[in-house]
Amino acid sequence: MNQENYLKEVEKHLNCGKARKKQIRRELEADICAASEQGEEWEETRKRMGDPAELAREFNENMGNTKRKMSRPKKILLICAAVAAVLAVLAAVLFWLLPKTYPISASSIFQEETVASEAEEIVELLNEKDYETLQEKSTDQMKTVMNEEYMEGAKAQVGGDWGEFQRFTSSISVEAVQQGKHFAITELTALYENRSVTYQISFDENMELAGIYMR
Amino acid sequence: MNAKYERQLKKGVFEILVLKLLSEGEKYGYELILELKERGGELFAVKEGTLYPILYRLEDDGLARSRWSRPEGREVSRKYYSITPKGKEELEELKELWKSFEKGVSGILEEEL
Repeated sequence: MNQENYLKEVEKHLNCGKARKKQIRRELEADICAASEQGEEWEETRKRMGDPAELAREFNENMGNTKRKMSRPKKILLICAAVAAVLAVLAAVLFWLLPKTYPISASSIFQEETVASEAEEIVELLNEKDYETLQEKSTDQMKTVMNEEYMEGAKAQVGGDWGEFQRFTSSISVEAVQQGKHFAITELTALYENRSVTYQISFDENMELAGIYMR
Repeated sequence: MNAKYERQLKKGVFEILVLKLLSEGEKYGYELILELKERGGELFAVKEGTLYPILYRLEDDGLARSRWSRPEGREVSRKYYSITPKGKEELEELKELWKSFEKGVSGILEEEL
């Protein structure tokens, strides 16, 4: 190992501030030069000084670094563990926040047939513009939007003149859990004279209408 | 002999010895290493990793000071350490302390109770 690399190795293993490291390096350089002036070859000097990590350790011991700086691999491991812990907490929070869906047949709260037929009932009431009944069926939050103005606006957003309602063509229901609350969601497709419209209808645990989307 | 105990014992006295050597004149690191070995024998052979921290401590405590200088005709500058007035005072006190210490230790070690 040549002088440059040797000194680099020593510096690497020193546990002190940068300024001190530079100081030590300069002193060692001066010593090596002094030794060579006295006729000692680098190889001899190197042997006398010993393994660079050992030399650094001796410095560390004697400079009373009680706050032993952690080795790099350990530091990296610790940082990874900390990041993993933070991610785990975030994932848990997200998991709780985001809705999870389960097949409705497995639900202990909702009945598949009841949910499906209620959803159809909602759409039929919408077709008939029976907002009074729809209001009765809605949660307090839904009540604020379950009116003619809002809902007709929403229908217009879907676009076009739908024409007369023909029949339902498909219906799928799931149970969703979000933030500890359970919902039944039905995706119900209705065929009208001129087009199909797919509704997504949500009910809360009391089977009150909690949400409706259409596309 | 357990190297650790030997080291511990030496740890106490090297400061005093270095101060003594410095009181004789300005010296640089390598010079001190050679001198300690020459005047004290193998027992006082000390490595850079032990000597320099001592010098740094002495400097931090104001007992020694240092300067970089390039001696005539040499390639590389050297760091010269010298004793300060405070260091001289401290050295005198430590010499007294050592005398009492030595007496006490020998006394206890030689007692056959």
